Amino acid sequence: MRHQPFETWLLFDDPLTPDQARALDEHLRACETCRALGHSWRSVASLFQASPDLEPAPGFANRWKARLVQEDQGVLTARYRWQSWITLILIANGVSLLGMLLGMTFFDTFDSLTEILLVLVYRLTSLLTVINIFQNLLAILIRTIPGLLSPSGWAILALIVSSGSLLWVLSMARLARMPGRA
Amino acid sequence: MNDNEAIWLAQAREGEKDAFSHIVEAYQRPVFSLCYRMLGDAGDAEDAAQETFLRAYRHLNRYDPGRSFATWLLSIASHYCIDRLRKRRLPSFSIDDEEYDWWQPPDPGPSPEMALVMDEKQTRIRQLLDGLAPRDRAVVVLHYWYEYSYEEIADTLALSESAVKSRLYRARRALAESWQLQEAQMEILEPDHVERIPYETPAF
Repeated sequence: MRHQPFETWLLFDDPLTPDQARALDEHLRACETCRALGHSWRSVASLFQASPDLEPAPGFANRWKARLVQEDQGVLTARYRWQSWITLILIANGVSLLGMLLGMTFFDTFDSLTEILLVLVYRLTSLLTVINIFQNLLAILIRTIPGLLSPSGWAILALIVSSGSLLWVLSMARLARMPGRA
Repeated sequence: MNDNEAIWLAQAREGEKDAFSHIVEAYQRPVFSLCYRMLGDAGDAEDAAQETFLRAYRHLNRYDPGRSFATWLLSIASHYCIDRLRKRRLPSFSIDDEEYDWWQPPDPGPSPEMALVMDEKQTRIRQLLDGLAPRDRAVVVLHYWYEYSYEEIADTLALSESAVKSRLYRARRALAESWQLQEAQMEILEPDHVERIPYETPAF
């Protein structure tokens, strides 16, 4: 027995013409397969219609907010981690490149190891001489400065400097507590 | 969408999380219900519904105010559930699972609605829907529980209207056949079960 187009008519929503409805009715009287199909489908549709909407457990919106906050933090942490790695890689590359350039310049300038050692000794001697000059200058200043101001003048200067420092520390602490700053 | 919801949406677009949580409260039921019908598990449905709202919040700038907000939201939920069902069928390890390892899904706990999940009708509906392909299941859920027209379903699932019609036809046939199979199995186990089902309609 042919079941088409009767199966289609049974399972589609489209309205049937009077002739189609009559033909379907006649077919269903004779065809047990289509009758069972139609009956089963109507049972399924009735079951669906009798089933109400489901609701999540109370506090769904609060759980959503908590998840959003956690996810934002996770995204930020991942971003900071990536930024740190990229910065570290860039610095390492820069240092390596600088080292290579300096090395190349250094070895291009000198012809032998003796010459390199001589230059190093000369540079070291110059550095020690400069340090010695600064040491002498500092000694002169230490001997001269206390005579520039009276003891009360030094006390006032110390008070001004410490007040300025305290003000700076307080300002920085307040700025750190402002919203939008980690 | 009412006036309040339009205001909340506008505020949420400016980045106000609290405004969007009003939207979450307003639409939690249809979104959760869709996810439950699609996934068949309360814990998975909770997770999918939360994810739907997160995606909606993050991509709020893509929402066209000319369209229905509910349709847009259910479209996100449907596509997410379809993807999840497809992944479920693959035996491979999911990277997504590890990505969200730091988030512990909440325990929904017992509630009258959850108790309903244990009901025979719900179990039977879940068994029937489980036999459908993910997209066909979405078509059936939107048509029967949301009373969406072919056009609205096509808009939600990015299908043509004719594709919706043919998927619905195929799904109805599969559902009717599953019903017959269930009935046959139940009749073997409990020969008198037919009289105890109140929603069953009489034969022709």
